Amino acid sequence: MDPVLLQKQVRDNAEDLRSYMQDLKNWEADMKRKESELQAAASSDQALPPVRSKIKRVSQDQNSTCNAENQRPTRISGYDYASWDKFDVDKACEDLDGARHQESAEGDDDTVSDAEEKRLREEAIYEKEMGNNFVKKQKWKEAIQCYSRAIKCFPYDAIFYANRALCYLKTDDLRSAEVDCTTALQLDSNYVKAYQRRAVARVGLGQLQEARSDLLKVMELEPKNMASKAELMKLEKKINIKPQPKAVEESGLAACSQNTVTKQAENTSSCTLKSKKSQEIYTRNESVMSHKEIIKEEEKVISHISGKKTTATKETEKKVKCSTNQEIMARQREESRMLENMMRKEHIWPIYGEVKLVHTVHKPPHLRSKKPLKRIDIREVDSNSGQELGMDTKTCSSGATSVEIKSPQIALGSDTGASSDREQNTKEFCKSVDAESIEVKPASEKMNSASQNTDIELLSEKELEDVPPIPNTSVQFLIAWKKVRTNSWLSYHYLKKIPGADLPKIFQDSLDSSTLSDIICTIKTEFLQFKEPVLPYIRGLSDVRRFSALAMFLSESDKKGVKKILEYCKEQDGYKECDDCHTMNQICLLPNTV
Amino acid sequence: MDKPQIICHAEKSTSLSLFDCRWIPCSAKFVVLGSKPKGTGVINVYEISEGDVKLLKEVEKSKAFKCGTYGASSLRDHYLATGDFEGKLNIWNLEDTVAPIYSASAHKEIINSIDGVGGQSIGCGAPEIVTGSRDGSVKVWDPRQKGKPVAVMEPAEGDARRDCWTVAFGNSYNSEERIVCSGYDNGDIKMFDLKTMSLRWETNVKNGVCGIEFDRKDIAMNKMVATTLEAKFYVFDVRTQHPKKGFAHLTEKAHKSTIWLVRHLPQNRDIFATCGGSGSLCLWKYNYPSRRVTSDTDGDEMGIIGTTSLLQNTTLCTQPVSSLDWSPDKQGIAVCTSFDQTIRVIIVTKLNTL
Repeated sequence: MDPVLLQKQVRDNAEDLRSYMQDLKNWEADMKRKESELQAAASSDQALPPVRSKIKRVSQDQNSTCNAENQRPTRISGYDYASWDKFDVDKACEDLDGARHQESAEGDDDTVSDAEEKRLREEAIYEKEMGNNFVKKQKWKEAIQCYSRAIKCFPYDAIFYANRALCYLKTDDLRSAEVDCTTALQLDSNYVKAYQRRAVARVGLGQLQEARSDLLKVMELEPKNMASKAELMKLEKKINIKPQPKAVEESGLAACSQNTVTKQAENTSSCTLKSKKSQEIYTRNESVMSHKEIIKEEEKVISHISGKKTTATKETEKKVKCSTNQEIMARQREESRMLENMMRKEHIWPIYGEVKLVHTVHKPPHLRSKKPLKRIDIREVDSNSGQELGMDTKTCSSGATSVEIKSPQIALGSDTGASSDREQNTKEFCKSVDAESIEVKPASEKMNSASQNTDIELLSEKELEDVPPIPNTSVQFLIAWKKVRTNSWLSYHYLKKIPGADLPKIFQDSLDSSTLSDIICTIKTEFLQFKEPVLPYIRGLSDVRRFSALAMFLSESDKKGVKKILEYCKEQDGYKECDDCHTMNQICLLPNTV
Repeated sequence: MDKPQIICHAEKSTSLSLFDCRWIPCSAKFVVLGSKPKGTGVINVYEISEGDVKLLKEVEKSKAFKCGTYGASSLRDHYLATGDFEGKLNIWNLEDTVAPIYSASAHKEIINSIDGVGGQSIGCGAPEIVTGSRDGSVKVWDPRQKGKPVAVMEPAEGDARRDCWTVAFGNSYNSEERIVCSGYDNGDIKMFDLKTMSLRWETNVKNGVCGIEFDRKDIAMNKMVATTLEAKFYVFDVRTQHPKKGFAHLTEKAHKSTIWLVRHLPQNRDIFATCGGSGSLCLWKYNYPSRRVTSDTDGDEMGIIGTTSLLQNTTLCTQPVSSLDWSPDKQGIAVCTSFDQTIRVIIVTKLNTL
């Protein structure tokens, strides 16, 4: 490096450090001043979300009390007079009180008695009213203080948080507004205004996706809320950069009304008869169907219950006139409320976020649908797959693979009638090949199992280079054969390379029966298929020393193979030449004589 | 030559085993946590003034302190949360240290690591402290709830309990979202989602995980660095999670010894320092790739990791550097402690030109 430059940089570095030190000194002084200022400053009240475990506890408690409410009427039936006689009302009341006390005892460090709690709640409501008045006068700061006091008195009301959030929004304290809305929603997860306000806050904070999900939730709860709809459109435009997958949008729309969903599904399904992705839509359609069914089911159940209820009440009114009457009334009220709940639930049934909840429906066997299940047509989307299939079967012609190809088509059936001609062709072809291979059969089985590799059609010229060179000795042949024998294509090419007349020279007297049967097998399956001349090989083999002895040990299937090969030879070259290979002919005779 | 320089600004030798150090927010002061030779715990408050480190206050307690954080305390209060060798979590007001303002028997064994969130950054959710201990559990605490953790992440009954070496908060960008990441001695890294209370992701990096840190706690999580034994650290791009492959990451070798910890510069999240077992300090810069997200053949989004470049390295001492803390208020100044019982204030220049 240039010494002058180096010197300059060293100097620069030193200068840098010196200025940094100076800066640091100033900073130290500055920090001291700031620190003292900070200590003097009053605390800024900032909204904090509630303690994590507390949120849960509150909601759990609510749930459990709800459950208790739901359970109580069903615990002892109205006709069960014996158990009602045993029922100790005082004890039940005591239990209830005890539970409440326990609840408040665990609830907070400072235990609050019932009366005081009531007082505090009233105070909180009063503060809220004050706050609302301030809001009307647009005095946001004062309103925030009122709501904060209300929350301090009674921290379990979502309205206080949501109102304070509005004030925070107006005073541009978006973070606090967001926190308050979240808290409100933790207390009441169906509070539309809180969602709306949080969406506004989040848009302000730049958390667009979150804001969007809030607005979607609003649409789900109140499909007719035009303001939110407009807001959502605006936001979607804003996000636009990265459009969400269709499914989400659809689910969003689905929130608007059930009907549109079904219509949409119908539309799409009709379209898709033409389109290629039929499978996907079929399933969707089905899910919608099942959805409808579920709803119908529920309606049935509800009507059933209500029917029962009326008859039941009539009966009881006849029989019981005095003491239990009141209880029944109360229970009735409870029941009707439950029914209402159920009805309401039905209205907002379909979507929770982006997930469709499909509940299991329990049906007795005699009520179950007798319709057969719908078949789903699974097809290769790739357009040239048909061709490949054809190629495939042609080249390897192995029974196993062709069965494999065939089986899915059989399983699926062609009830749509839309399957292309080409596919049918291949199917027929497969069948014919299959039949052929059954005829040829057992000897090839060993090979087939090994040579199922469906990538054979991909075997290009490049891979042909993998075919080993022509052997000079039996050892060379055996080594090469070991590599090649698992792949019928390669073994065919390897054998083709070797001149048939050379076989005796190569093997001398070290040909063993398993190799022989492999060779016969290859000749039978491959050579015959490609109409290659096989006579030289047959001759060569029969000229190998000790061949006649080996022939004795050939298996039945191999013998059949040889027979087939010989027939083929006769067809091709005429009888004359075939007569030369006596030994081979002998083999064919052997099975008859043995 | 226009690389940043790392310069030791001040050195202070002590008679303590030092485990952790933290800047007191909004001041030129820092605290160091450690133990005396007889096993008692010490919190010392120092102030830097004109090239020197002055001891302002010494607090001695019966149990040795392992770690501390200001993460969950507000700027005005700056209460220090500490974890000690007995598994106790305490929060101290350093003005009045007679008794802790909050105390909980958090774990059965030593608290190895502590992290806090929600205090300094405005309106990003509840103030919470997370502790990781040798007993294998990770617990989340809210200073407003006495004696009980708000969330516990531990192996199921009967499963092997691995030593948890490090914990970190992240993804706390609104009042709901929050992530805790923990590293274990067997190389496990686990990511817990506190919003859904579920395990979001886990992996194993083969070597024990000594340090984990998100580049920022109060943004939608962006990237995370995990340092391990055997001189390796991992940078994960945690913006995009692939359903099968998880997060994209890179591995870097450095220090030729255990990498004890990683600390991101508060003023620039793409610059971070790693501290090695041989007393070395490396300064790294993360370079983003031209595209951060791609999609695989199934259409799932997949993150793309960038590269790291070594900006500077230096050897401060011969013993491992056990802790380092960048000043949140002044760019380029940091304090570190090492096992040679020395506190060092270091200055890194030219950070603003990177």
